[in-house]
Amino acid sequence: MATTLSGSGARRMESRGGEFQDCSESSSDYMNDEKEIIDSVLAGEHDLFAVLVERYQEDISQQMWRFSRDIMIRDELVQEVFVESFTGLESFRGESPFLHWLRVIAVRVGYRHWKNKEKQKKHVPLEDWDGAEYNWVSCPGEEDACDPEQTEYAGKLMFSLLERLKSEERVVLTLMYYEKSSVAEIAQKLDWSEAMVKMRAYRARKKLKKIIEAEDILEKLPWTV
Amino acid sequence: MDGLKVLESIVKKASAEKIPSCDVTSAVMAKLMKRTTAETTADDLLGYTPLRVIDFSFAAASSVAAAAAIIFALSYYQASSDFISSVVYNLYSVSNFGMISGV
Repeated sequence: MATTLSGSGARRMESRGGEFQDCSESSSDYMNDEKEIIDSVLAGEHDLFAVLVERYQEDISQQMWRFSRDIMIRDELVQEVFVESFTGLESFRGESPFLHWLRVIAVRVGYRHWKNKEKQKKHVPLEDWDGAEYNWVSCPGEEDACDPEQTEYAGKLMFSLLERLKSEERVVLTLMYYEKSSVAEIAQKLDWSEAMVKMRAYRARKKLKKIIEAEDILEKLPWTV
Repeated sequence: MDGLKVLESIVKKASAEKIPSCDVTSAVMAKLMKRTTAETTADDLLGYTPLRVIDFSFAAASSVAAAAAIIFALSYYQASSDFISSVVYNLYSVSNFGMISGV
């Protein structure tokens, strides 16, 4: 499927790896460009949707990695997010950046995935996962925190700890810890009350604290706290 | 040590984890193309979306089933063949009227 776009949209499309923001342009230009693309897609130029997928797939895939560490499932979830966003594109009002809207859809897709898994009582064993065969994107954050072995270990450990919680508790902590979302933002993304989010976060943290202390996780960490 | 401090330390490390890259553009576009093509084909052929076509199929199947049930009931109670014929004819007329009026 050919994707043709002239002007700034095409220029940004060449940029990959999560660094899509063109610093020389203001965010309002960026949003206008996005609005143009979305209007064109709604007018029937469906091919242009590829520009949005190209632009945001790394952001969404990083987000979905917190919902599944199985690369195949993660990619399926990312696809689902974009397909759902395409079908609901008419409801995008353009008041906030498209990525914010996509992230809300992504949280709901990921949460639904956990709920379905909970029903099936099926868990993907972490031992089956092998990160060595994949290409890695650049690692943000402090240099000393970026030891790949330690961060991968932490990622797996955190995933398995969160897996022991109920889906509704797990999603709250995932958004708090990885997306740095506030209580109000989580409430808005999941369509819950703020009191509900606070209560679930409190319960989830209490449960994790108990697990960490009971299983002496500190002794198993390959770094010092 | 307090479990929450250990948790914070794990979260900090886990947040810096390298994430496997992803390229789903062609897969997404293929799914969307398949979807829009299916909708367009059904729309061109019948003037309705696939969901509406399924609605029609269900409506047609249930009408046939209802007619069969009525005929079976009449036969079971040994109604005369003339009476059954008139019922069938009336059912046929009603269904024709329904189709013409767009019900």
